[in-house]
Order: sequence, then C-alpha cells, then structure tokens
Amino acid sequence: MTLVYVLILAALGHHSFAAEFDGNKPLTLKGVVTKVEWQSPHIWIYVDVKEPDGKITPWQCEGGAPNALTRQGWTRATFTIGGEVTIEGWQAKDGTHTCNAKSWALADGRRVLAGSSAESAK
Amino acid sequence: MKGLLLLVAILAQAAALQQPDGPAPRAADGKADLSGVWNKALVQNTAKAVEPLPFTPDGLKAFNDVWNHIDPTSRCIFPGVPRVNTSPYPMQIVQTPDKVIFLYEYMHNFRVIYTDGRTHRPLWEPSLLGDSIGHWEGDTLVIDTVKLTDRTWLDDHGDRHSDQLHVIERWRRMSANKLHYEETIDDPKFYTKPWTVGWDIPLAPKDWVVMEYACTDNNKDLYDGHLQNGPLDGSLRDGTAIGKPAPPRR
Repeated sequence: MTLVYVLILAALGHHSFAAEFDGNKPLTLKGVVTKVEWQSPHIWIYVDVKEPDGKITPWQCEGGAPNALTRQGWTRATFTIGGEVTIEGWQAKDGTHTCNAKSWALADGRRVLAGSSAESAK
Repeated sequence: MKGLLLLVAILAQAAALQQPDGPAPRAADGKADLSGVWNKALVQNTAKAVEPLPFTPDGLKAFNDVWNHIDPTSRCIFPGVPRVNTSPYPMQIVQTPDKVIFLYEYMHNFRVIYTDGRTHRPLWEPSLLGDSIGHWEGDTLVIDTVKLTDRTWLDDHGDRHSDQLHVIERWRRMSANKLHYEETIDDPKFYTKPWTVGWDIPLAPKDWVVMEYACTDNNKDLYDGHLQNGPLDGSLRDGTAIGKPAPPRR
C-alpha cells in the first residue's frame, strides 16, 4: 500500500491541473483506443466515444508520465488500438473534448491510477 | 557465558528486525556514502513549515504576481536550483573522493559538485542551475550555489526568488535507507532573512533505475496552447500573503 502511495506521489508534476482542467466537472468516458502517445512529459490516449445516439466523438485524455506508469507495470502495449478503455477524469475548462485522466481501466479488469497532474491539485 | 551470548544474539536479531535499515554505508575514504537511487518525491510547497515567509516588498509583489505567469517547468524550462531537488521522480547520487554527481530523472538534469577545495568560478553568467561547489562537514555534504537567474521558481506553490538567490544545501545519509535534505534560501532582495526547510528522502526500491524524462518530447499541453497562468498547486494569491499562507483553491 505504501509503495502504491509513493508511486502515485512520484507521478505528479509538470503543469497546473487547476488552470487547465475543471475539478468540478468529473466525467467517465468509455471508448475505443485509436492512438497512444507514450512519451514524456505525459502520456496521451485518444479514444472514440460512442454517444447514446450512435454518434462517435473523438476524445483525447492525458495521463501520468511514462516512467511513473512503467514503474506500476504499465507499458504502451497495455493499451491496444481498437481495445476498450474506461477513463475516469475531468474535462478541460476550454470545453474541448480533452480530459485529464484519474484512472484507466481495461476491459479485462486491469486498472491503474493515471498519476495525472490532477492528483497534485487535490 | 553461552547463555549470555545467546541472549545478545537474540537481542541483536530483534534490533535488526526493528531496524532492517542499518547504518549509513561508508566510502573507501571513510566518508558516509551518499551513493544510491533515491525516491525523491514531489514537495509542492517547500516553504510550508516556515510560513509566513519574511517577504521584502519586492518579494511579496513577485509572490502575488504568479497568477500572471505560466510555471516555467510547464514550458520545459529546467526547474533550476533548488527546485530540481523537490521536483518529482527519483535521482541517483554517485560519490567519488573529489566530487558528488547528482543525476536527476526529472528533465534529465545533472550536477557535478566538486568537493576538492575549489572556489566558485570567477566567470560564470547567471544560469538555471547556477554555480555550485561542495565541501564536507563531517558526514554532511554542503553545497553552496550562486549565479542563479530569476527565471526559475522555488516550487509548485509559486514561491519565488530573485537573481540574488544564494542556496545552501545540506545532504546527510542518516541510515542505509534514509537521506536527509535541507535547503537554506538566502535571497536578500525577496526575503528579509534566510529561511531553512528540510525533510527525509527514502532510498528507492532495489530494482529502480533513473529513467528517461524528456520534457520536450511531447509537451502537448504547450503545443496545443492549453497551459494557463498560475502555480501548479492551484493556490490563489489574495495579496495578504504576509501573516497567512495563500488560501487553497478548493
């Protein structure tokens, strides 16, 4: 448990969550991964989200640093293109389909805290 | 006698269980060896323990002006000294008889601190990491840094410093698994007197190595224009920073 806590703390930093994202607008997105950017300073996962009316909306979500996620056992290959992912996070203040992920969950049940910059603002 | 030895052995074992940590290892030259990978955690508000800070008028103005600026590290500018020590992610220390080398994962910064008795360089333009020299006081490595620019911030809270900043770091390995860090902020332009803060840094798990953190690789928040002004911890500035810390955002 301590180790997990340390890992989460170690994943913070770099830019302001409070300035960019709205902590009062939590969201849960379920979508299909279309692109993975596994690079510093933060990973970005692009997903197509199916709306209730069948319309597809592309979203982009930011997570923790690749090094911090790697230490938690996650790699680029953990996210498969075409695979399903459920993201809990917060939407950008600018209203675009951009989010800051608190956690990623895969269809097989694996889940990781994103180690996003939001953690530092909470 | 045998019984006494057995008792001593049992007590020693119990002590070992209580303190699996052990004493600080020694280098070949007898000094405490700081070498290792240390799990340096993020410290957002480094000044918290000594607030309210002894601001000069210029210092208070700079502190309250943070909401008019993007944090320099968000644009991938080096955290600088001393913020490099309180930024997230591990660091490795490599100690030799005449120098101590700091390898920071965050932004791939490194510092070579000579402990061979040399003095500050006469020709050195102000820079992000400044000009550092070290010396040993017993088992404590003392690093003195000058020639720093005012382009960096002290921490995620938006604590500020001027170009008159002089930093004294004190690094001491308290035990095999624990490093103690202390920084003194001596900046007569922004603070009426020096202030000192410190905390422990744990040794990283055995299999950890310093990894890549190339900030400019894909700084999408910058490229897409998402970055906005303010300190990374979201703390506000109400202009009354003397007497109480900045209020939390929520």
